[in-house]
Order: sequence, then structure tokens, then C-alpha cells
Amino acid sequence: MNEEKFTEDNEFSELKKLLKEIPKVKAPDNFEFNLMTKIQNQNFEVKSEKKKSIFSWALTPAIGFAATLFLVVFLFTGNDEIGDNPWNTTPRLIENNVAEVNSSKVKISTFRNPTELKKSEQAKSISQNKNLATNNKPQNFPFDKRTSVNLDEGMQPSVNSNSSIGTAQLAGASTNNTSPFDGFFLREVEKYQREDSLENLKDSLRQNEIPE
Amino acid sequence: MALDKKLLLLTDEELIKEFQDSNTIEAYEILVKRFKDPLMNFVYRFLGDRDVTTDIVQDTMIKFYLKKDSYQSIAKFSTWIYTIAGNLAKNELKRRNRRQILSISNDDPDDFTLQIEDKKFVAPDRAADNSIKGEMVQKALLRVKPIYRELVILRDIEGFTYDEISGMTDLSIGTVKSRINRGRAHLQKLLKNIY
Repeated sequence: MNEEKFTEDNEFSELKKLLKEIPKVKAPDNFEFNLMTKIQNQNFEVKSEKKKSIFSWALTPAIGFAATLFLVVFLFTGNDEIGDNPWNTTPRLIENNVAEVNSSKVKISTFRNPTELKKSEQAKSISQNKNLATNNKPQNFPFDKRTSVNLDEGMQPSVNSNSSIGTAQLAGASTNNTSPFDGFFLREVEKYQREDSLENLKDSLRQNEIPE
Repeated sequence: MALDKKLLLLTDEELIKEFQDSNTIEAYEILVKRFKDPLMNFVYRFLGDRDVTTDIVQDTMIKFYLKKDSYQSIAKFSTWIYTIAGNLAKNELKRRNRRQILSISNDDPDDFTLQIEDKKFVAPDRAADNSIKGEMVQKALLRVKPIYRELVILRDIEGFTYDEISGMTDLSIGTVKSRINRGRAHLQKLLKNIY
């Protein structure tokens, strides 16, 4: 130990002597006054300490990453649980809605007892739920060849003269439940001024009458 | 006044105890008077800037005032206050290094040695002067790596024991000794022309 100290002293003795000799730096005269003023004014702004803001935690990389991850997961997977995306589901056809309303009206009229009506409504709601899946499937366009008119054909004078005049119908005139919207058709010009127009209409309706 | 006289007789540890227990501001003031100059010297030798040194020592004293309860009587008061000052000085150095763009050519220690030689050559009689020596030593100290510089200052300028330095820096005594020796060796190489 002494040997080590001896060699160390010998090796750096001059340097240590020099370091001891250098003049000491002293604090300025107003050091204490400034310090006590700071303390009395509570002016404690230590240089090394950073001011912490309320949202400083949000700037932490780990928390920022976690928040971003949560948002991404929420946006891309959470939507399925919240509800159907209206852009991805096939819209329900108006035809089906009208048909349901019509059929319910018919059924209500047949029920005499209110309890019977209630039961039937429950059964109907169950059947509706069952049919939801099938209704959501893409369906054929609801035009009936029988009640619709091909416009291209209709525009041709030969075809027009043969069939369309007699078979054309008013929109919604169809009595079957296939479709309330029968597509485009050529409207007959009603001749109200003529007295026999109603008679002719009656005759035509009788000819095209569909049995219920 | 009588209290002041009584307090003046107390040791550093007794004064901090008085300040902790009774919040006696006079005890705090006495400790400030005792340590302001040694701390100024220590921080100045480490940083080499008088104004910044004054700020850091002020901050050290404010931290001491605010966090007096974090001092535990198992350690010497001087060790504790030097640790605070050393940490603040190191933080300042880091901050400064981030801002400062150092030129690579100036980092060569041989250039610095030549600079000292030139000064000595120009005014050989003045080189013996303490203030010139002090200036040269200061410049040389700033060339030593901070991890060595701090320990050399604490040991050879402030006169702390290895054990105390070990407590201040949280390093083992072996590491303290080896770092001090490396720092001295580098310093000696830089200052070989002035002694």
C-alpha cells in the first residue's frame, strides 16, 4: 500500500503540487444577496429541471404508440360490432316492404279476436327475423315480364299496334304481389272528353282481369 | 446574534440538522457561506465559465434549500452538496455539448501543447506567475475527458479522499483510483512544458 502510494506520489507529485498552487476561484460578492432574494421571492427555477406540462405524459413514446395502436384497432375492427356498414349491405327492396304491409292488412281484417291478432303478429315477427337472411341475398330485378313493357319494343310501330295498347297498365294497378313497381310503360292517353271512353276502359279491364 | 455565534461553532452536519429540524435560516446561511467558494472553485474547474459556474452554484444552494430533507446524516454534508453541484455541472456540460459544434481539428491535444509552448516562449517570466499557471491548468483540465476531470479536481484540487469521492460519484474505489490516474496522466502530458 505504502509502495503504491510512494510510486503514485513520485509519478504525479509535480502535477499535484501545481494543481494545489493554482488560485482558487471565489464566488462574486453579491452571491448570497442574490441567493437569498431568489429564496424570498420563491424564484426557484433550477436550470437542470425541465418544466413539466400537464400533457407531458402524452409525449412519452410508449404511451403515444399505445394510443395510436388502440385507435387503429378501434377504427378497423370495432365497426363490425357497432353496426352494419350501410355501404356494404344490399338495400331492402321497396317491393318487399309494400308486400308485407299489404299482407298484414289482409290478415288484420281476417282476425276477429284481438288476442289472435297479437299471436299472429308475434309469429310474423319471428318469421320476419328468419327471412332477414334470405331477404339480404341479392335478388332479381323486380320487373315482371307480364306486366312490364319493353320500351325498345314499344317504340316500334308494328309492335305497338299489336299488343301494347291493350295490355298496358297504370303504375300500381297490378293486383298480384309480385311488384308494385312495374317498370316503364307506355301510358295511354285518357280521353276524358269522350263519353264512351269509360265504357271502353271497363271493357278492357274486364278482358285483363286477373282472378284473386 | 447569540444564536449566530452558537451556530458558527457547529459542524456542517449539525447545521444541516438544525436547518432540517427547526428550519433555521441562519444555519442555512452559514452553510452557504462555508461552501460557496469551494463549490465555485470545483464547478469552475470543471466547466471553465465563471458566469455559468455562479448560476450552477446558486442552483445547488437552492436545491439544498428545497430538498434539505433528502440529506441523511449517514453521509458527510460536504459529500452531499458536492454531489448536487457535480450533477448540475455535468448536466450543464451535456446541454452545452448538444448545442456546441466542435471542430475536430481543435480536439487534438498536441495542438494545445504547442499553444502553451508558444505562450511560454513569448513570456517566460510570466509563465511562473500563478494566474498564468492557473489559466494554463484550466485550459488543460478542460481537455481532459469529463469522467476523469471531475475526479482529478475532487482529489487534487479539492482534496477529498478516495472514499469520499467514491461516495459522491457512486463508483467503486478501484474505479475512482484508476480514473484519477488516467486523468492525471493525460493532464501531465498536456502540462509537461510548464513544470
